[in-house]
Amino acid sequence: MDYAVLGKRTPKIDGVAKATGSARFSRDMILPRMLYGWILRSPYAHARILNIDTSRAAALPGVKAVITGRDTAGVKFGVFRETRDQYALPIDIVRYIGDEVAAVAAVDEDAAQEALELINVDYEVLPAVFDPLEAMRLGAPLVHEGVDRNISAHVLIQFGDIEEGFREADHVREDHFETANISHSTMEPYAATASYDPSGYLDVWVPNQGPFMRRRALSNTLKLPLDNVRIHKVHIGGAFGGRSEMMSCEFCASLLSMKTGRPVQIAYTREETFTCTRQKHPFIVDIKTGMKWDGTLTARQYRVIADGGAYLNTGPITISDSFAIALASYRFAHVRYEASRIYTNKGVRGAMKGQGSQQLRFAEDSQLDMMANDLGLDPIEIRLKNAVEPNEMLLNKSRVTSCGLKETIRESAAAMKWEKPSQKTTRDGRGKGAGISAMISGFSMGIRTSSSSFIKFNEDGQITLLSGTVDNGQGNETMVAIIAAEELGIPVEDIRVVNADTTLTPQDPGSYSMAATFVSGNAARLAAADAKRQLLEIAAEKLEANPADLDIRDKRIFVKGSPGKGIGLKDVVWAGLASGRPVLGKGHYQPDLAFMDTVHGKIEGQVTGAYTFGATVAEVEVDRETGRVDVTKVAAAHDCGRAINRMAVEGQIDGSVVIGQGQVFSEEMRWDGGQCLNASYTSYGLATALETPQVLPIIVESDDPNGPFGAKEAAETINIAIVPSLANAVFHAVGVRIQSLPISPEKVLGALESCKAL
Amino acid sequence: MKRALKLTVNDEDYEVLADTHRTLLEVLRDSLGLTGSKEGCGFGACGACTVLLDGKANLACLTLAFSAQGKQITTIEGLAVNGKLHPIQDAAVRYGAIQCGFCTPGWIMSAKALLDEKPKPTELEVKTAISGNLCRCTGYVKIIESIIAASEGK
Repeated sequence: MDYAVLGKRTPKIDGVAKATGSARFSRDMILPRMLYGWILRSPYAHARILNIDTSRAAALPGVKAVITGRDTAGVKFGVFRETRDQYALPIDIVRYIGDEVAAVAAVDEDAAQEALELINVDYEVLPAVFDPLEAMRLGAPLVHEGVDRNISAHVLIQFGDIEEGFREADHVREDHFETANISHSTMEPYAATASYDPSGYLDVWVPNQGPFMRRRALSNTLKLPLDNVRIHKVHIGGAFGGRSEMMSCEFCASLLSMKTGRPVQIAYTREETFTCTRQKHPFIVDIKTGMKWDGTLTARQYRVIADGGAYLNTGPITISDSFAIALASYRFAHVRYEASRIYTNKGVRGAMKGQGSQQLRFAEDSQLDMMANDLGLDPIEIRLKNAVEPNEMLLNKSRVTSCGLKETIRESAAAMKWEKPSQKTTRDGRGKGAGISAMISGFSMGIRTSSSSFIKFNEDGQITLLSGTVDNGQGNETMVAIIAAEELGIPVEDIRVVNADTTLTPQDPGSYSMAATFVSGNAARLAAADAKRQLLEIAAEKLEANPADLDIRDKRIFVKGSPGKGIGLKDVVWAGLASGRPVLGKGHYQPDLAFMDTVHGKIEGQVTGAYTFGATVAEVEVDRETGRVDVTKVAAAHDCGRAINRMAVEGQIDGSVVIGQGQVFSEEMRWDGGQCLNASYTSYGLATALETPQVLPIIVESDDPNGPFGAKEAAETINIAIVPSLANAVFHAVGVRIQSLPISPEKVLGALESCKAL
Repeated sequence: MKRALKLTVNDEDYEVLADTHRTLLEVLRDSLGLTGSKEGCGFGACGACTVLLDGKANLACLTLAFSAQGKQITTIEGLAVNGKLHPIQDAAVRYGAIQCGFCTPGWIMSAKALLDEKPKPTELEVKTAISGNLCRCTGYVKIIESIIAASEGK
């Protein structure tokens, strides 16, 4: 198919604003008479608040308001009714170091910070628990009263007969894996600006992944009518799943603004952003897999324990979704999955890039490599043998539609000139090797499925495109613009996108997993198609032709087959306006999905609109003296269905590789009891430009039957695949298998030492 | 205590009253309204606040505003001339080096300091120059490409 706009290298439509510093983020919204807010946080991992005396703080010159949990409506928040266990400002119990206790608003930051020190809180310190395995023991301190053994969520999902599956196997392995507590580390620290108008309207600028979900949470907790709360479009400095949920930040800024009648801004420090927003769940995974001599998988059993921190909220999605998606990578008939998410008195864990998929895939694909090694099978062949195929019905009765899994495996291996694994040595004595991993992604969209879009043709023939889709940096604004431009035969520059504003734009599920391109992209395409139909009808009268015989290209409507016979788009728009037919397109998209009940682990039925696939082959060099691992080259092949914007897809692949590199080798939030020891960029371990490997991005287009122009998603898959690839590469380089993340120099050295000792 | 502070930013003179302990970043953002420079950490670890002082890259969050008096301060807002993007900005947009955009002003200023001193840097020199600018979105790949492209006039 010959596309005019689609599939090219289109610069982001917000690129110039971001390159010149004019793009405004939540903290850049500096409003007249604005007050500055700060939050007082608990110094204890678990304590009862006996009394809070705010009188001295309130009396400090410059302080305009002080609020505590007693000033709130006392409504808990969360995405599911049954997982709402957190107050935006706790009333009686604090459950982690950093939990919110009070908030102040003052004329400047100095006064606000001084006021925090004048708030006197009497605590009764309660016993706390930090390790998930200890927390599950009978008699352990309870993070939430009445929650047996701190199990905040538990699912047991089975297909087939697991014992039969292991009986069919020729080789069975049982292994233990652990993943690290990762920080999203969005470059923009969390911040919110809120402005309450005495007529009852609240305006909020806050980083979010779905303005409509955020509006609902604020409306519920502030007890304001839904429509009185407006989440504005604002530039967002990264999300990666970490900006899915409401935070105390925008709640307190809003409530303080309501109390004072003045705008209030609260900007979290980097340390608060690390510890008091959300983090990635660390998993403990015990996995047992059965295999035939030829590598055919027969059965798999998982036991997963996820450390969830102090609150629940989206937690069940993390443990359920990761397994629902696991079913779509490799085929096996018998499987048993049991996962528990455990409360501990630490910062809260939530969604991050693929929910729990990265954690599970690390275990699965590391072990697959170990089993291939046991049986002398080629790592590529064993993956191709078990890979799912197009139109395959999965165990949970969810159908894979388009599927380029095998192509991604073959193409990434070819790009790296894959050979049989063998340890090589570089000239300076470092071990060199390559590892592969193949991955899938996809998301249950059952709870937030539908998006709508409007297109308004202006009198000069340019258009305003209204979409609820939010852009966290991945390029969603440009994505909907390209889709509309392609459908309408106009250049991207002629489209102004107005998006992610709850008052101006229609409903949208938010930017989670594949929901943006697949759902919002389809809505934009349908709106464009509706506008196009109107344009062609008007043009048909002018050209005395049948609308079905017309098409638009390069801002001109013409008779198919005789491009000389046509009319300018602007003239058609004018003709429409003059005859009382303004061109206003409307589109709505809702994929036909089964509701996936993640809380109870009910994942049967079509749980996602499309599955996406990817594979990575990574080459590393390991220094045997220091244990340091350098990533030298990575080929990453991603089946995104269709690349709407090649440059954006490549950007997602590049970023996913390097984020994964940090996650595998250096990133980890380390804890001493309830105290995070490294909530700072100086000690957390993000990869820098100096560590960036050569990345070979490969785009595989499987042309999904339901995606807009065949597109699916382009964000998560590679970030999931890269993790086991790198672990496998370390094994192939120096023969040591590290089963806990991060694969730090200490662990590599330790493992090399143990090998020597043998 | 507040004192008169005179700064020259992007070739314009400013005079404001400021506490002596204010950082350059605070004054740029809160007093002068130049919010293009970002605070990503406040501890000099992320580079999002990078500005030029007499042409050299500096971290505005670690620079006292009063110590910048008498120096030529250049921020991201001062790079485009008469609406025309600086070649580094232009390449950043065309090569897809910008995703969320929060780190962008910082690394563009680091790259400007590099290219002003060394118009044809090697890839390693580019990586080194921006190694203090953290980015969570791009993996640095297209940032590096775009800086090299700008240096080659592409």
